[in-house]
Amino acid sequence: MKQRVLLYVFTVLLLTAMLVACAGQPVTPTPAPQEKPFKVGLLLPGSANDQGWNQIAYDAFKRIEKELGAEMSYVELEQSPASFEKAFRDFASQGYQMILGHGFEFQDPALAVAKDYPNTFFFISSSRIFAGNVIGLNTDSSQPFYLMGVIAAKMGKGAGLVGGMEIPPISEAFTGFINGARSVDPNFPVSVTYIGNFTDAAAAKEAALSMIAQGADFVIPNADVAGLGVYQAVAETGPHIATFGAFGDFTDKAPQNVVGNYIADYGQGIINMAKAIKEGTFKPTSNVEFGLKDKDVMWLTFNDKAARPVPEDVRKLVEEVTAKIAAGEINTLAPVQ
Amino acid sequence: MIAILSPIAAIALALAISAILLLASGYSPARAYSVMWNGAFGDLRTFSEVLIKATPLILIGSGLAVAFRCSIWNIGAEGQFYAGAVGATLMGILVTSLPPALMVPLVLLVGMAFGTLWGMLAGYLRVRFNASEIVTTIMLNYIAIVGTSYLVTGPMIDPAGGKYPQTARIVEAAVLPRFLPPTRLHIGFIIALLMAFLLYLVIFKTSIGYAIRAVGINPEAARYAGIHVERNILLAMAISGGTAGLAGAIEIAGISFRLYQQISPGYGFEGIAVALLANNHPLGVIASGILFGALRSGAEVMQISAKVPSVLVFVIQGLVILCVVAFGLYRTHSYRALRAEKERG
Repeated sequence: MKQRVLLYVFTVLLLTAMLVACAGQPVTPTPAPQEKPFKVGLLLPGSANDQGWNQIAYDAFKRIEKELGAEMSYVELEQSPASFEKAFRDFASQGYQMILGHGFEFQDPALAVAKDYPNTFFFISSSRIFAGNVIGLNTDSSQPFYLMGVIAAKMGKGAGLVGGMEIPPISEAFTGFINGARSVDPNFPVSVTYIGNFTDAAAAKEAALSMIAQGADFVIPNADVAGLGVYQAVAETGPHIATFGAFGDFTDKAPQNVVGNYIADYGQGIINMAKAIKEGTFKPTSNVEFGLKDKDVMWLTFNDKAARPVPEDVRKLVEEVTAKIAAGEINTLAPVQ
Repeated sequence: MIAILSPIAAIALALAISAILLLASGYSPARAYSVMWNGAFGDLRTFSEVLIKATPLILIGSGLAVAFRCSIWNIGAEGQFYAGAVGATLMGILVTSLPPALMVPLVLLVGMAFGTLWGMLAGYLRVRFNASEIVTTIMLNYIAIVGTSYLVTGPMIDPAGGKYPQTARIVEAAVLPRFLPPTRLHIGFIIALLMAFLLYLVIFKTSIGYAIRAVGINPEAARYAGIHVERNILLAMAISGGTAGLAGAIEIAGISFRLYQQISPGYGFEGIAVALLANNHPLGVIASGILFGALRSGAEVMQISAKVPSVLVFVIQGLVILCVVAFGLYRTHSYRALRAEKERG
């Protein structure tokens, strides 16, 4: 009996507290009309220090804070669509000018909020959306992977690609690789495997070893943290197997085997846009697609200390192809037969 | 008096401990708490968001309260939530020509049916093979969640979505009406309140509820009294599964409008704490559900405006829950001790 009374009292108490709070004045003070601070907000679908996907965006926003003197705030959200729309609105209603939802799953919530805040730019990572102030940001990895394909077909006998999950950012990169390889040798063998996640390094290693056993001498990962398993596999097999670092410098993981690195500086791309927004010169006409044309966002490096360094004539070819891709003369995403 | 003061004291203690933690980490507790309060109850929009987050918790919690009263430890509300979300999405995509007046009930009922069946699966294993429902419901969680991932990346993937792991959007007629524009508050919240009240009536005012409670207190005595124990166990699983399924359907039809690989931030597990905090009373679940919703909602704003890192926010949430539960147990305990003493003396 006593407990039931307690429950009612508890309920009534809570509801009263809410009513009081709702009736009360919002405490947020209106800032004095001085120069408006540049405010950027970040919505992360996971932990900011995950050494992977979320950290890329977090580090980029930290740089915006430092280099542009912006006021930066971020929120780690649980995987729940119910939270996404609210978080966008929490930021936008506080006058944030640039908000990034880090993943395609933020598209719908951003669209729902954006029409109420026409002066805020809503960016969505890994998306090709464009609707007014909702702008998709995509890194076209098929372009650097096309270059890797060209190099592999020039230097090797066969290639293996180890992917995380079969989602567009990964499968498109592989399409680029195959197109690049086939542009050199239409019969160059390329095998593709997806391990189904981004964390299982042991599975990635197994996949790489079986590809090597089947004759591949270029094995390249695109599987976030799990990709480390591929570098282990090539390093243990021997210096005759080559690989590339993807999205960063992985030379130290397999110094003999890494012949080059595809470096992606997503942060620089975001900072370039933040700068334009701050200066009021950002006038988007389409979604943003980072590619080889953005020389400070993605580029390819070579490792001269590798067991089989990329020969000079191939580097020259890569340079020519890079220029053609940047000029839009080569479609790295052409459908593969 | 003690009844009123106990939960307040619990929350005050939790906030005091958290204040020390905040201070030690270099944040102003006063600022953090005022931000959290405003983030939950500051204005109509933030408060409506609290109720939106409370909706699945109230539904799941009140269903679990019934199961727990029957001493059936359904840990599978998370999986039943996913099952309901899948059922609702299927209807919302496949049935395209019904008016909203029929479509909304259809989506919700099918979601509820999916959750019910998923729950009764564990109930059947318990009744037929005496398999512990704690184990089977946990395992069925994994099957439901991984199964949803499979559906969303394979058979149910949005044909127009550019291969992204999400289903197509449900038809407009299936969307739950919102009754407090411009907020997102939808009729799902009203449904949750009605469901909690209905379950309160069932469990305390009907012979069905009496039988469920009797089985929970002592199944052998209940059997001796002529109560069909197995039937009541199945019923308890069906009710708790059904409310979790309904919660999943409401999340789809009221908030996300399409199915993703991950649709729940752990509502099914938090629902257990919601039910326990309310002492397995469906009406109390309304209050504890709103409290948990407010903690969730305020915590997000605390990250954004007070820049308190999420880890610290989770610690504060955990402390509040721990203190409230501990104070509740202490109170029940001392009350029982008091009564025992009276009986003795």
